[in-house]
Amino acid sequence: MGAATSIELYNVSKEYHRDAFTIPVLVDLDLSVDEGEFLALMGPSGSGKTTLLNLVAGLDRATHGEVIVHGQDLGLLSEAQITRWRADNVGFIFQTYNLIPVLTAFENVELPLLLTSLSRKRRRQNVATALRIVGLEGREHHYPRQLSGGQEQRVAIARAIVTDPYLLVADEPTGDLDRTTAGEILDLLQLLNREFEKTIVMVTHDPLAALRAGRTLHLDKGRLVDDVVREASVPALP
Amino acid sequence: MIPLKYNLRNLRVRWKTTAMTMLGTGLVVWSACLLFGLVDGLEHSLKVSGEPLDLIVMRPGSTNETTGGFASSKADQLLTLPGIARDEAGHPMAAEEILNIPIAVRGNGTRTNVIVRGVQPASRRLRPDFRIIEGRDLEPGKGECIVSSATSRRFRGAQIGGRLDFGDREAYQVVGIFTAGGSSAESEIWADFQDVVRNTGRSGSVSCVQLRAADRSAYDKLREAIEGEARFKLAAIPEPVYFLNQSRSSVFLKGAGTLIAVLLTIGAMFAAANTMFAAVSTRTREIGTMRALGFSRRDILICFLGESLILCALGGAGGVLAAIPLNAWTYETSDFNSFASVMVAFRLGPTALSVAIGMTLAMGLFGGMMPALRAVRLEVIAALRER
Repeated sequence: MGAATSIELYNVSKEYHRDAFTIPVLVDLDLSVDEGEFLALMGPSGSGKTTLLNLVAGLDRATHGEVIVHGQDLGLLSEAQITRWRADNVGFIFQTYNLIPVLTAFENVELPLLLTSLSRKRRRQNVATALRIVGLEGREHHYPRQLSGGQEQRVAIARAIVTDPYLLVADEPTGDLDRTTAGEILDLLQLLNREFEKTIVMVTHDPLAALRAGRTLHLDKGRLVDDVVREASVPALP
Repeated sequence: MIPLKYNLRNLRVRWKTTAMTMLGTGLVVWSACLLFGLVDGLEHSLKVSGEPLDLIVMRPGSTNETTGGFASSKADQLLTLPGIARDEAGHPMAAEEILNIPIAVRGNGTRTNVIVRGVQPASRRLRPDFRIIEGRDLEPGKGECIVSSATSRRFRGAQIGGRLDFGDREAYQVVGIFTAGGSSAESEIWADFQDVVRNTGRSGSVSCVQLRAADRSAYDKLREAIEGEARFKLAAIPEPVYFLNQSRSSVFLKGAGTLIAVLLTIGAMFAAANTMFAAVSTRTREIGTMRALGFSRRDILICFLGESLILCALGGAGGVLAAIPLNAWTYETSDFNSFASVMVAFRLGPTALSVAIGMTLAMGLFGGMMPALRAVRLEVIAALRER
């Protein structure tokens, strides 16, 4: 029996309006992603990959069609409900890390937990666990400016996983990093996918980064043009 | 909720802007404390002067003791009326008083009118908390006087051992410093009744009679007798009413003070709003990130309104703290009726503090509202794209 479906898109379109013009970004897209899949989205600029990522993360809404994530039709949720849904179900990893500069690594990771009812003690435990998974024990009290780019991205990943979300979305997570550090971050994402069975959707321009994913979707002009599944070809972890 | 330390640390990181805004709001609050402290001081001095059972007897139609004179024969009869309270020794708590307004020389050589009040022994008991705090009380018939410490500091010759000369015929030796609970009496120079009568050549008349009724029913009967009986036909004005009328001059000050405070607050609101707009503008991506993580629009609103309030509260607290030393300050103004010098102690009391707190809240809330709403309205995706 196959894995349960994690993300389902039915006939999804997304349009933006600029003055009198309607700009189609995604056109009649159908997609199904299984639980625990590591999906890479590739395509030229303007192909709609980040828009697709935003739709499945609940940051944006489709103009037409249905976006169902973990059984929840996101189009049926109100603004407040979808905000709450994101807090409970999605971990975000950004290209430029998006850490809060005035908060320490510990406090940045703790931030999403402040939306939960966890006690202070449990929050501390969860943050410590997340920082240990990303290999940043001992850096809890460092501010972002005191960390390297790779370390900042590790803090961001710790923040993304600290609430144990169902889905991780990563928008060019290695775009600002050198090759070696990028490799380490991709190792970490693979670890989260394999060991912790997180469903990951990653936007990338980098073919080497996409090779780390089990499946790669290619988009062009808002349409899905290629869907490559390569379970056997994922490079092994060191 | 977004943790408070996020706001506090942002204020610390932007310390120059924070300090400038705090300085602005602090100055506004300090100015308001100054204005309302002066008004409050004036009102307080007149308010504490009015005892509920005390009556001031004057010529009918006069509004002020300085213009309320009548025959001393009537005054003598007033002191014998039944229903007047008596002290422990059995003496009636009533006093004939005479007021003169000569010109005194300030320490800096300028001149101003002052009230010299000729008093009788009971006058002291008729003022709240009358006490000699330095030197001694005056002795009748010796040309002596007592003054408040504010008067002593302000006028030439008003120190203990000094001599206050008012023209050729009127002079008093200062023998003591008194206090009277911050009441208007502290603006006056007190001398013996007979000494003032003799020096001013006004025998046969008094300015007023001050008296205290034994109780509420005696109070009503005394008023009826003084105002109704043919032998008197005088005005018996309740002391609180008398001083309320005197305090009408503070209404203008209060109105002007309120107008200035409102205008200053509006100005400071713009300063706070400017600072908070800059804060929202430079932290757009942080706002987008927090919204993406699951913080609601309400969380963002509370966060930025809270930061604005903290900013203004810090400035406001600084303004109030800077106003505290003014509590030791006594300023001189003029009574609008007699044009005599009136000493008023600055009072950082409930009024000034309420105004300070109100202004701080207004600056923080209204100054922070527009920037906070701007932060709330940011679209998450657009905010995340900000660099």
